[in-house]
Amino acid sequence: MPERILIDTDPGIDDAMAILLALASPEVQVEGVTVVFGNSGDVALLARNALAILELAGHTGIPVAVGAANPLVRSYHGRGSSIHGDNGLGDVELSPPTASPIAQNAAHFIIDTCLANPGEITLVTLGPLTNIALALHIRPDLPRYVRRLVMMGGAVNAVGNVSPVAEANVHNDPEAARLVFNAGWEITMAGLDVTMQVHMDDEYLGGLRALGNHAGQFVWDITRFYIAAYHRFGYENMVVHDSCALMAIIRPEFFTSQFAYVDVETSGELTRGQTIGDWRRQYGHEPQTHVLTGVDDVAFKQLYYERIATLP
Amino acid sequence: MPPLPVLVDCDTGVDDALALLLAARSPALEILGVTCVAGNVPLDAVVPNTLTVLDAAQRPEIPVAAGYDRPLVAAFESASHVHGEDGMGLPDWPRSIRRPDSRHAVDLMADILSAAPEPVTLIALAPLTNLAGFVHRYPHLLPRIARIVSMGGSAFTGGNMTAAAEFNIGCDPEAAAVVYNSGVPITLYGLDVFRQVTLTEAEVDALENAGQPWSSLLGGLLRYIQRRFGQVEPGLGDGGTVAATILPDVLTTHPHRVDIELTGTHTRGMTVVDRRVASKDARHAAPPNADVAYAIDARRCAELFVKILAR
Repeated sequence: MPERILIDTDPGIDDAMAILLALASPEVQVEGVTVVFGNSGDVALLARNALAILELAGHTGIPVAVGAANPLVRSYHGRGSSIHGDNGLGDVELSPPTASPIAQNAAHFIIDTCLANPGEITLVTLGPLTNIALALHIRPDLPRYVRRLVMMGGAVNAVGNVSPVAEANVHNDPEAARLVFNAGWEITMAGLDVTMQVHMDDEYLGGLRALGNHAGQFVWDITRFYIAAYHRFGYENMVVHDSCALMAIIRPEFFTSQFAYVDVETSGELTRGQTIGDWRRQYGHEPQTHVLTGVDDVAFKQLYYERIATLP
Repeated sequence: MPPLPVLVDCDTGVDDALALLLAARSPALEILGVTCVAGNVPLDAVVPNTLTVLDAAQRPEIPVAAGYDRPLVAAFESASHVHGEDGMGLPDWPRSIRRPDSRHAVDLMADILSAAPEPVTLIALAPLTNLAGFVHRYPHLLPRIARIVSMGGSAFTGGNMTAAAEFNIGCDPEAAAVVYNSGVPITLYGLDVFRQVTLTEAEVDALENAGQPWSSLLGGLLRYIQRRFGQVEPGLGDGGTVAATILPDVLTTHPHRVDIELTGTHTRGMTVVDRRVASKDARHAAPPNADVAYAIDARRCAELFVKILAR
């Protein structure tokens, strides 16, 4: 039985790559996509991206719901275009999607889907955690209905990317992340501790293009902007944060993890948005988060390649 | 090699005692003075402990001065749950009846630095309160400090006082911020390497039975560490910091900008080390202010400790 997932996302180049992986993988069944600000502040644009990606992969029936355009408490700072381009997909123009987002807001769609399928749905978050926090605000008992939450976000012992200690998705809405970490569900966290270990270079991406399908060409096209940004920041290759969250569901055996209580710093002037791992059990909370710390990147990239090859 | 002139700032402290014994007996260091500060235990325990250790080391001529009895801003919280109420885990050990130098720690530091023919290395094993006081009182003497080797903070292993803060920084974060913004070169000897320097059981036996004037005290300290932490192979703690000062090539360091988190629900007192690749980019303005220790040749440090103190 495939794991039934809802993907909450701000697509986003690596989001697009992760969504393609999900659609190409029989281990998961995508029940819906909810959209949140993050890689761009324009959620209507991000929803069009989501719909276009689904159509490119031949999955037109999956509902897309638009969610939060701003963080829970503070305002969106509007950085993201330096990594993802002005349109969120490396300024690659996709043909406009034929479908539209559903009328229901993301938070309500999440609640309804989870409550209608108790214990069945896994929430996969690839963006700031605002939609999930909004859903929790309406239904604090949501975790009782959810199978688990798998997130791309945070950095426990690893270096941050938007500050010395903070990762972008958590930093974009620390208050929401704090609510999500303390909501009472089991979390699998693909943070920078693991996502920085899966490197893709132009040779690998060229192999995807050489598959000759739309998906491989699309991944090549959108990563031109993304890999250039990594080069600008001093990295040799790009990394694919969001695909790690999906791969952790599809092939958990590729990963190693440590179980700890993780909380989010919301007030520090230097550390706002940092995820803190309570490795020594000093906070008096039970561990709730499987922090992914290691990955077989060779196997990861091999399977990613094989899965993209199955798409149109 | 002429000995390296050093000042030691400490809050003795079980592992400070190990550090002082090594520093006092090593021919590679010339200890110009020792300053005391509230930290592991209150100042009125730190001072007699420090004098007691120097007596055992047969170095009573080294000037010892008392400094601040509380952090710059924060309320004082000791770590006596780790070091025992007496600070050395040896409540029955007779303490020195000597008096410390009459000068305040920062004044002793100023006099020593003014008189020293070359810049002096400062080995900081405690909360940085005395050093911050010195920065404020004697800013013109900062160029006389060659480097601060600071046991404190961490780069990538979290804290011990809290999940994010190490004790020496977390005890007085504001003082640490003053020191890290002082412009003096700093070696951050943090928890990332601190726990790695340990002795074997055989080395503990050799040190305890060496028949030197300090061997009985040293044995008592090491046995306390074994008992208190359940470590068959006791860690040298601050002793490793002194060893790494004597043998600087045991450390693998990288230059980084380090700032101290002063607010934060979870992170107050954390050393925020900017390890981002992108921080090498000129657009990230703040230049490195510390050489952060990533790795240590722990065995060489332990062997130095044994070589100096078991002979």
